[in-house]
Amino acid sequence: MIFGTSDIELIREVLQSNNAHAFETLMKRYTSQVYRAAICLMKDEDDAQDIVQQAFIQAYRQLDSWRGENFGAWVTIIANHIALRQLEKEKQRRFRTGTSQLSGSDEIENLPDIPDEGYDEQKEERLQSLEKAVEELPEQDRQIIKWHYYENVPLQTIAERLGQTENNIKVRLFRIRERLKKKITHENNDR
Amino acid sequence: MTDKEFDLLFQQSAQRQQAVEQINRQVMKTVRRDMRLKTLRKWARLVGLCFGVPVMAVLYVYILFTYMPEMPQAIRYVCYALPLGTLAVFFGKNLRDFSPFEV
Repeated sequence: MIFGTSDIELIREVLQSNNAHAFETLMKRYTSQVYRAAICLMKDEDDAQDIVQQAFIQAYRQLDSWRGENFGAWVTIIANHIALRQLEKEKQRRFRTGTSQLSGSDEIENLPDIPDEGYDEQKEERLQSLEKAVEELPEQDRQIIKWHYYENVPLQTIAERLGQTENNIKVRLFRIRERLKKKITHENNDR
Repeated sequence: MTDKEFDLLFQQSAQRQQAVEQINRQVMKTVRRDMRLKTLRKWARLVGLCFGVPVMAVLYVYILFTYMPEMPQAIRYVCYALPLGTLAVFFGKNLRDFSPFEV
């Protein structure tokens, strides 16, 4: 049972047996976490995807230097370093292209930040609240949400899988939605 | 929060999920390629060790014995010391890199 295995066991499995499946399991555990951190820094979905990819590949290549702390936190730190390096490069590139118009005493630090095109902080907060609220649901409710919203499984199929009637599933879905809505609204009001 | 907003949020979350899965696929592609290369390098090293080293040794001994009589004494000693030194360095390196986890 690879899903219940701890990070350290999975890493040992990757290092000793070159087991790709073990690394995949490990990565699936933390991709969302690292992605959230990357998008907060990059403020662009495509850039964040690139950063997360690079971070996991770098983590895989340096896996033997991992010293048994939290794997997710380790990859997040790698992603943050890559993101900051990229932002710095971008600033320098903009500084170089802008020097013809700027006076010689202008510093890189004085340049305005990169515009947040396509990034909405409020949307990001709400998305994170939703993901967190879904994660906190009981196992079966979470499964219903996953099938219905993420995998587009028809209600009738969900009912068959769970051995319930379609109406029953509709009612359950309605209740779960209400619970989630309340939680998200409550959390956003707290901020 | 209205139903419409809530549905939109779920839609965005599903898109995010797809993006995450896409990342996982891309990373795994690179990781699998790296693993294949690693295995290939391991076998290549083994083949090199099994066939390359003996061939080199035979070649070395052949050259040594063919030209040995014409060589001065000092060079002869160097020729003896060279393979022994190589062996010692090779052995030391392996001992240093030895890990009980990789046995």
